[in-house]
Amino acid sequence: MKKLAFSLLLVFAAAWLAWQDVDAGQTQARPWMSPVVTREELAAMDWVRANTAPRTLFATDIFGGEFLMGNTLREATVGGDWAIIPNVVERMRAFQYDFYGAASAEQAHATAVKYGAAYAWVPNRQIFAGYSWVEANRSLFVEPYFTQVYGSGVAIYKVNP
Amino acid sequence: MVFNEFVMPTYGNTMIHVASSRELVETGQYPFADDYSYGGGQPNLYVPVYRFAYAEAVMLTGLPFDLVGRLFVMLFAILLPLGFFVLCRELWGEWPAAAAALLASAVPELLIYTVRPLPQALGLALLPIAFYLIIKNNRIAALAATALVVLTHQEAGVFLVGCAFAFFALKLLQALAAKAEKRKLALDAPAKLAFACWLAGVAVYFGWHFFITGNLDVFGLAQFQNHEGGKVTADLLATKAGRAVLLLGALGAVAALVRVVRKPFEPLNAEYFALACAGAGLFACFNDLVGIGVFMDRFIVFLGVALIPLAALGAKKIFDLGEALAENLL
Repeated sequence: MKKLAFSLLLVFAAAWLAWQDVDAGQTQARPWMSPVVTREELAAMDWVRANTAPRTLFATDIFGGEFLMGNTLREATVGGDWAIIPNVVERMRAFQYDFYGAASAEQAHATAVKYGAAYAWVPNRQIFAGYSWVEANRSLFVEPYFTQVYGSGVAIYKVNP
Repeated sequence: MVFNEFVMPTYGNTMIHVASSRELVETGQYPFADDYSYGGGQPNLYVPVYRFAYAEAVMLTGLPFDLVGRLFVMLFAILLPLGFFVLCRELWGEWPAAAAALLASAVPELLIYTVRPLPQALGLALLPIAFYLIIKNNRIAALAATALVVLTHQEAGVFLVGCAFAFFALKLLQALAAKAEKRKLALDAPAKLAFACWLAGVAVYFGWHFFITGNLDVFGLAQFQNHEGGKVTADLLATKAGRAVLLLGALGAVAALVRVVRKPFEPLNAEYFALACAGAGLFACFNDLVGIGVFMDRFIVFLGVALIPLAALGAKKIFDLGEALAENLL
């Protein structure tokens, strides 16, 4: 009986340590459960499906892009599996700094046109195109370069020719 | 955690897998030649089994993709401890098997990668089952499981074939050492099967890569070119693998090593297999030391998978030690 009690004591010590790790695991996992995207972006999926053709290319950040792909079968300028994409780092840098972080509407437009985007996806949250989290600057998306076609929470702009 | 948010998590590229599955469901075609990623127009290299399973589940149930993704996570949560139980019962017996099933919850990184609907979660859940089939010498099932893992998640596949090869190599060394001592110890069936699984896993992945890209340039992938992944430090390892599994795993490794050294010409497949997996996991986590420098921190979760059986053995040894100490002291 004493032998069993002593053994169980050691086992409980190990179990206590393991329980601490279970708790730590939940704390570590929680941030990864964030959807990142907003409810307004989810609501905009209906408009995208109704008003654009499959495989239409949107200028997006990574999370908005992947959300669009999965929900609507549209394509995005960044986001997805980067394994065999030519010049993928240059592409991410372009959408981080020359599109969402552009110095002017003209530069944002030129970047969207260079990569063949038909629409721009400008959500009401911080965006991430591969380098840093920043607020999307809506003052970039103005006529004659862009025409707003949807929304307030998330804005969708047509990239003008 | 799984049902808290209004949509399933988007971290970890969860939605790109939904895209391929959705196309399969909505059009009946899988986009082999035209991935959605980064502007589209490139071959769809990511291995497809998880996506096929996802599409199949949506078609069979009629449920939305988002709900099926969350239900998949619940399925992985059930599969994972069961897999470790089955594996460790074969390796060490029932008591350590129960410990292993519980310890599967004590590796934080394992939770992070199985609580989101990802191919990696399925790959991780399948790994212990594949290991069990190898050690049990169930040839057809082990080869099929190897192919399944490789076509579910690339890193899980790399880890599986690495473990299989390491086990084969250790057993081969043992057989050669026995031969040098003029003792009879042939390479046994599980070791040969492990070699076959290594060969099959490598062939299946390269076959897939060639089928999709038309070349075999695996090292040309962006992950290799850009050295994706961070360095593994002791702190990171303790945080991500969990202190209990690390400590018990180290104890189990010592116990297994002692047995191997004391009985060099016994088959001891359980010990050799567990040590081989730990070796493969450590090699993967510290691959920067040999100049590869890819995904080091991403392999911590696989080291966790390798350490759970050893930790289960360590837990058994603690119990035995407690009994022995009590006998002498009390």
